[in-house]
Amino acid sequence: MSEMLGNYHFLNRNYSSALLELESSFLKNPNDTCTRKKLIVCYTQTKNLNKAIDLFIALLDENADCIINTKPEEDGCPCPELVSQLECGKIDRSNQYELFVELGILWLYCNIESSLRYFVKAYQINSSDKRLTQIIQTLNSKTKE
Amino acid sequence: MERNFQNEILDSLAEGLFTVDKDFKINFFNSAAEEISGYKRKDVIGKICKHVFNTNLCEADCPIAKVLLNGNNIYDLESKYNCFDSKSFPVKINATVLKNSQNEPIGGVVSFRDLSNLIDIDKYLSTKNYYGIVGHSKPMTEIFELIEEISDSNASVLIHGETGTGKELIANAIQETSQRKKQKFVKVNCSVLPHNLLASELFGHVKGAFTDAVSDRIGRFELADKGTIFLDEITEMPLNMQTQILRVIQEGAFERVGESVTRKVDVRIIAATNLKIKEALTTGKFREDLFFRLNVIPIEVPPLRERKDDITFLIKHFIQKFNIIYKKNILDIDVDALDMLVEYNWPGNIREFENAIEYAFIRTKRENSICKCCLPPSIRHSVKAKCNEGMAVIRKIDNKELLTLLEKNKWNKSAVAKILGVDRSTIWRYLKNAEQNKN
Repeated sequence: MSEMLGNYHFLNRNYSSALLELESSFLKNPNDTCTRKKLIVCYTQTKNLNKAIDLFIALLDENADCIINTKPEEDGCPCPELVSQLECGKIDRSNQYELFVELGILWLYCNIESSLRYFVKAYQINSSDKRLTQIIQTLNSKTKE
Repeated sequence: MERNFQNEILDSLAEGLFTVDKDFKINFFNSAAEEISGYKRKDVIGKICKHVFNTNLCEADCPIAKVLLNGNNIYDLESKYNCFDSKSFPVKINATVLKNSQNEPIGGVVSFRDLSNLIDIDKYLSTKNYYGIVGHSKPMTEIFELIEEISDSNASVLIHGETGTGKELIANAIQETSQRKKQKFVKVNCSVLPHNLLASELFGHVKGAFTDAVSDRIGRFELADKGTIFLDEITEMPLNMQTQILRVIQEGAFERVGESVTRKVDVRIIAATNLKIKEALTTGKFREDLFFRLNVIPIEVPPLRERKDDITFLIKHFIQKFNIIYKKNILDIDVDALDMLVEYNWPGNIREFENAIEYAFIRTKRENSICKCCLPPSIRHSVKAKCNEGMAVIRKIDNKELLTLLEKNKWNKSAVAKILGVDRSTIWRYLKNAEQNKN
């Protein structure tokens, strides 16, 4: 089990294998932001949206800039291609609320305004999810900086 | 300071070398790597290695990932890297993983040697040949014609021939002339892989499919999608696997080991065997239905003993090759040595022939030729015994009788040899001895 092997799988869009490696690395180094950033993406692509949201909020509170300042091409980040596939329906998500949350998370790695727009859309469907309020507040304050 | 000192050492190497961090971003790129690849250090530092080199290995078989997975360093792995100008160049790669004091991987080192020069030598040698195959004899030119005729086809090919006859070279030529020549060409030797790993190797597996399947892995068929796969020694494949190959041929469908999802591929199959296929069919070692599916275009590669007309061309070819490798200037081979090479039966075919020439090359003390005493003892002893046998037959007829026979056959030594039941070279040798005795 190694973070580096997890990174390899992540670069090759092999999310389930990456998850296995990165989760074990996360247990050893829970403060490693690079691992957490990748884990969030892996969770969204392996039907673990709730885990993704929890980790996303934790990282957002701690260091939102580490996600916002991602350079997708330089970092081999899959988010641009994932959002494009989700938006055109190539990756199928039956639950619209979950789709918007997922898009909100993934868009933050590419563009904060688009991310915020999707979280607002998700909130309009399910305003009882307190986590969304928290995320929207953080992103709103970030956009004003 | 220490870092600069290390970099200077690494820069002095003739091998290209780069290191990556745990995110696979290049953090060192030596001078030889710059020279070989055409990339400037400043342009690649900080970039993910697969975005720079973009090899066919990067996704399925990244050498560093392989080391991470099984713990064994990689040596002399053949691949291709892409240059700055997008041209690819052949390389041999070594790879290892760097670890910190807690034994956790924190990066990798890849060194590579440019094989372009060697490939150029091969190209030079192959200009006078057919895609690297030396053959001017009738059976070989017929094979070359057939390869040209089938170049528009995607039909399966079954190559049959004894060991060392060059079946893989024939497969290469088929690929090179086919419409799929720009697509992937994946080679699998079915006899090398253990039966229990063959399915995983050919069709891939999913994580957890078996004890060592720690992650998903694509198989050779998926890797060869839209291209060609060469299944060498196909008759060594277990029967249950033959059924699965049959399904890929018929439907283009298969499942990864441990997965129920059916995947589709478009792969042309070239198979080869050195077994007597009829025996394999009779004994049930090879499925008849698979044989008929594969044998759409059968190619029989003749053993060297049946294409001795090619021996002089082969000698020339290998002399050129070994002159370059051993930096010698051998021009030719003595008549006696040639005679022995023609006489010998070559059970190991071209492979044995090449080894024999190389052996002679290494042993010869002469500057520009190879004599028979430098040939491997196995060949010298075998031919000597055979020659004595031939000479014994011919001595039974006298000079006059032999001359009459030769005149009657317009000095066609082959025809006379056939009548007497000896090899052509035996007649030639007898005449040479007779001339020496006369002098």
